[in-house]
Amino acid sequence: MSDTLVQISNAVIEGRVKDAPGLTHNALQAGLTAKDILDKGLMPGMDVVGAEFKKGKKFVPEVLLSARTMQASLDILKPLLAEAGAKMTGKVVVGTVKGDLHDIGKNLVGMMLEGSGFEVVDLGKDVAPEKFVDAVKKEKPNIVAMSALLTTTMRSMGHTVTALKEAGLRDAVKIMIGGAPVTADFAAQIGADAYAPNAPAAAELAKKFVSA
Amino acid sequence: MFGPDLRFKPKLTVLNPAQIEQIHQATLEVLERTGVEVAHARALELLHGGGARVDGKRVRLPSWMVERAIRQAPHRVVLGDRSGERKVFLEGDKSWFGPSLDCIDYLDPLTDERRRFVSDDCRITATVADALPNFSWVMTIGMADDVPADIADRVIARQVFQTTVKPLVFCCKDANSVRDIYEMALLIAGSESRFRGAPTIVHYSEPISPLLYYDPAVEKILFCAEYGIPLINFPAPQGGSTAPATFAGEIVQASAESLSGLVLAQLARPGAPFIYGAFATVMDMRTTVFSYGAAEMSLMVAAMSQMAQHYQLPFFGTAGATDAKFPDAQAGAEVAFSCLASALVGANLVHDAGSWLDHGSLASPAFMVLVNEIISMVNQFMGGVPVNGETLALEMIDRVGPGGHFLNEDHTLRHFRDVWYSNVFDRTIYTAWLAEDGRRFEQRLRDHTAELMQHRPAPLPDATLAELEKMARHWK
Repeated sequence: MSDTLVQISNAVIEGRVKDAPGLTHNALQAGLTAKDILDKGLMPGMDVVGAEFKKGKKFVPEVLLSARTMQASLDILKPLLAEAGAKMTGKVVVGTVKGDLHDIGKNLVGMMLEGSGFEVVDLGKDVAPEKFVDAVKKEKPNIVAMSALLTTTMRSMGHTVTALKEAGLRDAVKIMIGGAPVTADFAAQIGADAYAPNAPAAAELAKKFVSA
Repeated sequence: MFGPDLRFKPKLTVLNPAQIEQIHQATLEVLERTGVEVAHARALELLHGGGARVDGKRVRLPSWMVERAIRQAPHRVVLGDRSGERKVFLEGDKSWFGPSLDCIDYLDPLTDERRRFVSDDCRITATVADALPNFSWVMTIGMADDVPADIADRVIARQVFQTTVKPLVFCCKDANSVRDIYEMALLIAGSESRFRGAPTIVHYSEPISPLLYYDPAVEKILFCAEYGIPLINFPAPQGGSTAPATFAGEIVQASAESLSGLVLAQLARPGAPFIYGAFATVMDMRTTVFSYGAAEMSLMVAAMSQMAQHYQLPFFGTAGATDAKFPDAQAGAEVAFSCLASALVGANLVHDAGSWLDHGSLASPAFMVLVNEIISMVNQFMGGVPVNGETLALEMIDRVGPGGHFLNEDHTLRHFRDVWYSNVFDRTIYTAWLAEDGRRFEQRLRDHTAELMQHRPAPLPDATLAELEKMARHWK
């Protein structure tokens, strides 16, 4: 691996946001492709960060700082990736479901997904089933991720799954859900594909979905 | 020679007067400069009419409005039990412990099986709460996974009403549910005037941190103010995610959130009973968990309790919960720490005692029993050292003299029971312990819990039960 890529990985691992653009430009000038920088510089860095987090050595704000470092590089790489027809890890539509205004969990999932190389379309909170349907039509994501904190609003997740089915889009996406009252049983019950107990687990699950 | 009983209640402070003043000014600044977001039309009208600067959904509260609301609110709230007796005095630095609510899971105390919390579990936890002397009041403790989510809040409230005579602090989904629960409380009290004489219910509503109200929360605040139901406006900020990571910043934001509800309640009805507070804790940055056992939580609760005393507002505190998954050593340590801190600082209505294991997700009667035991220790400590002629015992010390003993003294007979004895903590001599099956702590806790589960609370009259059944049919 070239030194430039190692430097990019290290910048991600150490969360040096300011260094990311310069290192990215250097790498491009050295003739590396955007795809190479993503796959061999940024992602390996984030893999290390993910592993450190799992071991309890890195904490959430540090993981998010690494994710922001990666984003700073991706801001430069994205147009180039698009030109080359290369893809990001995948695309995820995220939202807190209808009736629920609690969005800290959803925000964390979104940031963790970005840190895993996903393109994230955040629909915000109090998102009605039809809005999820519209977003799936428009954005063509690999995954829909829904969050709810309340037992009274978690049913909206089921309604969203139904709406996606009725729109003929259910099989076009993987659906994952999370939130304090949500369980794997509930996910199975409403016809979602999986449940994630927290944001890092959601990011891992998403990676499994797109690599499958 | 000695005057009256010089009893001194042990006291903890974590803020000095200058810090209290600084936090107060900062809180006013947040409300005046940043404000809160409210979408509810009637609330916006009330707030605007009351002097707030309303800009779309953003409501900024001038300091005079906040300070007036603090003065307008009652400085004490007294809760009654089922018989109408005034039992829980939320005033000054008196602490009253009670359990919690909304646990998703239930840990069977006899088998350690963990499963979803269902409505009948609520009967068991309410039974145990009724039996435990250190729970002065109750909450619903769990969710009811076996009934439709729309009516679950009232199903468990009814379960608690039928099971314990103690005052109920409850949470529910909207104002319609508050009305149904209020009607049950009125029925049990016998009349509105009896209910007013000693309210048996307190509603607990939550703004969303940071600084946001969703409509059902606003409607609940307005409903409670209008009907004189004591109201807790209780945000749950997490340092580092939904509030600043610094303790002072989080306390200021939390205080602003709670006080913004006070302003609204006092505009709806001046003098509406209001209980201030916040569940200010940290986000655990290794797991993203909202910690219920953190030392920082106890520190921030203590600070906010001092703010409440400064404002002369009753305070809703938090102690006696744990992030542990069993009533184990971690649970014991976290609970002992938080309960002692709360009692020492004088938090009034202290919730979460013994019903939140596994950071707010798991209820267990055995844990309730453990926490009751710990609160007994805390209460014993809080009794302080009574100092008077009798307790100084100088005559006896002189009479017994050097080398004597006190075992046969009448004075000893009069006072040896001042010492507290535990039902579950062990002090037996090793050989005696072995001879008695060598039961370890977990086993003794389990056995004692099983006994307490046999407690049969006083039933409601048949006519009241029949009326509750009728009410339940109309729940939506």
